[in-house]
Amino acid sequence: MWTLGPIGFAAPALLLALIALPILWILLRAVPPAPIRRRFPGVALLLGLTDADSQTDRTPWWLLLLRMLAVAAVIIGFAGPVLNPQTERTGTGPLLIVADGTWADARDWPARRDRIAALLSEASRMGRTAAVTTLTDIAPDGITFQAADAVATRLPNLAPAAWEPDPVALTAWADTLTGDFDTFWLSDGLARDSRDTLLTALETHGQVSVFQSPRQTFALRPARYDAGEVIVPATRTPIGGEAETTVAAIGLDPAGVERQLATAPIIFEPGNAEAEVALNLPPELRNRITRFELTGVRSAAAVSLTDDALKRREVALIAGGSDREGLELLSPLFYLQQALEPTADLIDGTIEDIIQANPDVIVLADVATLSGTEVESMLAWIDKGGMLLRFAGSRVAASDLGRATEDPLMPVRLRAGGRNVGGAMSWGEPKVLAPFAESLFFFGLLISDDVTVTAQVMA
Amino acid sequence: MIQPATLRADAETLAGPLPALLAEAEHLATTVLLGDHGRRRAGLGDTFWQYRPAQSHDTLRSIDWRRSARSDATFVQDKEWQIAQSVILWVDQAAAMGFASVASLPTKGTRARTLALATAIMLLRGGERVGLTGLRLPPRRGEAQLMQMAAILSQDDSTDYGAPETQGMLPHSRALFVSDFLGDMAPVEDALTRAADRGVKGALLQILDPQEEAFPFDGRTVFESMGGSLRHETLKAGDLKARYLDRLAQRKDRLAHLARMTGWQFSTHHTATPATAALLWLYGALERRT
Repeated sequence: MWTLGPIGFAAPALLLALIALPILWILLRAVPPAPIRRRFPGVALLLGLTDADSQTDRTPWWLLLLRMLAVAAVIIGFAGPVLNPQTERTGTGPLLIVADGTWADARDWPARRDRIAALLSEASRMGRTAAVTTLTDIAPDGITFQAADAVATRLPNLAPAAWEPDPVALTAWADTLTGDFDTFWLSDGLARDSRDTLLTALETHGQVSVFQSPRQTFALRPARYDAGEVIVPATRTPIGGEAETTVAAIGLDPAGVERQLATAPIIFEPGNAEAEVALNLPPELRNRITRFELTGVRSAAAVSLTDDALKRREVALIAGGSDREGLELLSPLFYLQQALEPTADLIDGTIEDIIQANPDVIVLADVATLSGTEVESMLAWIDKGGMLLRFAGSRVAASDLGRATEDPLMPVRLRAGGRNVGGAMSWGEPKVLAPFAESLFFFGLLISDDVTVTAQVMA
Repeated sequence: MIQPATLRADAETLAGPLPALLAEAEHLATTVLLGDHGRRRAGLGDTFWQYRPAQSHDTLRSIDWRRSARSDATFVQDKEWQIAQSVILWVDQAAAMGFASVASLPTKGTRARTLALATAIMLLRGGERVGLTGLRLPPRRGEAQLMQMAAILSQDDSTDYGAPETQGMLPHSRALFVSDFLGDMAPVEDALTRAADRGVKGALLQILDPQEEAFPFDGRTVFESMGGSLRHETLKAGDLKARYLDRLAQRKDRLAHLARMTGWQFSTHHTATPATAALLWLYGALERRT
């Protein structure tokens, strides 16, 4: 097939007939149209009548041009023009069709499957045996070539996987291949080390054609929280001009139905592989997000699950004796506030109000006595999964909380009395904190020398 | 070539539904050939018509004595005027009459002959004498005349356009010319003036094909007459249409004028229309008293 730009000709030799057009031009110009002979008795009345305008014998140029164009169109038409001709693959022997079958293939998988089906039907026409495999799902005992029709019936089972091919398994698989065969490789467009080795291995068996779609593949990276905004980064390959895709934040709504909570476009600058979008969401909404998705793309890389890093827990801080004025500097909540503010949303208020807000954690700092209704509502909240964190202080030590009976809001009973270390009435120095053991969660945390323990409540 | 038998059968069919045509016998004295149908006036004849008082020019032999004996005056017996009119026909048998634009239409010649023969049948039924112009078939009566006429009419003429023959036209008879009148007008004019000179009156029937009236041609065309003697080449036939139709109208106008001048009737018949209409017109034209 001879191609001229995007147009190919099945029978280009016929185009030589175009040379005859100028000759035809001269012929058509010279010969006037033949007259029609009619028998007509009324001719006696016509005798002596002359034509109104003496018309030239020659065919008018536009008619000539029209005829030439028609002839040219016929010649070109018979030459069999084909737009974007598919080059026919020729070849004999078995044909191995390899698809990467990774997450990057997932979006265009129907197109890949159609391509494979077309290849198989072509192979079937040419009487070649064929085998189809994806690199993420390779048979450990190599491949078997079968009739292309039989392979095509199993094509619907072919599905991409969410992971990358395993290089070790791939090398082992390539070693099992024997015999001569041609390979058609539908690449997913992602570069990986195993590609070159596999290509070399396949080329030892026969001709290898690689098909790679020029479409861009998008992938989401894990979202992160930064300065009050949720940053969702994305990446793409191949790097091209400006591109835009949409990311959707998906989570459960208050009714428990999964729905899109927010959408935002991600715009890739020309020549940039990475792009990100900042979502400014209210905490209630943000805490509900379970994953981010690229809309309209079914691929493992188009989904990014969120974790607690994105969440801002609601923590309610309650201190005993907060009604006393002038003791703000001595507030037992001071260090808690300092510690929690960067990572959590803090709630202040009375216990009844706080329980209405349904926080994740309630911190009771040195609160000894709670009213009956407060205890009841707090117990109900704990039953629903609330976490109660109690700090002891001088008031708890002075009270008889959990001494005589087991308090429902205390994990253990406390011993009467307690322990003073390094006081006027005791021996020894106030104790400092020991360094955290290596197995503990807080291992490596620097312990300030200022922190001393002078009194303890004992369980 | 038209078979005489077919032609006659066609003509018989056409003439069947019409009443017998009684041609008016205008000039008793000059056409002495007596027919057998009364003219409802006194004249020469065999049957009694009326008694009238004898005039001075009446001979004694003509006086009806039996009637005169019943009164004092003398009476003469008048006979009913019984004459037969001679009608001579001329049908154009030239090649131009053999034209039919489409196969479903009859040729002009067929139509002309059918009409002429139908007229002849009607006239013969009415007791008239019918003949052809020229000396081939002088006016006679009877079925045999019809057979002969059909045979002669079936012949074709090889000339392109026909010209009427004026020989054999009896003075003060009636005549019927059927042609397309597309050829030279001089013989027609000559024939009509000579007929008028001899007191012959009659009808001109022009038979035309629809295509001759419409001239539906266009493009480069060579027109040839049916015999091939005349030809006219044009590059744009469509341009000629208006002028052709103009000339045709002039031709008809001239024929009508000629007919008016000589006391004849003129009409145009198209082969696409039923022949009965033309026969009715012929009936009226030949019956007309002038």
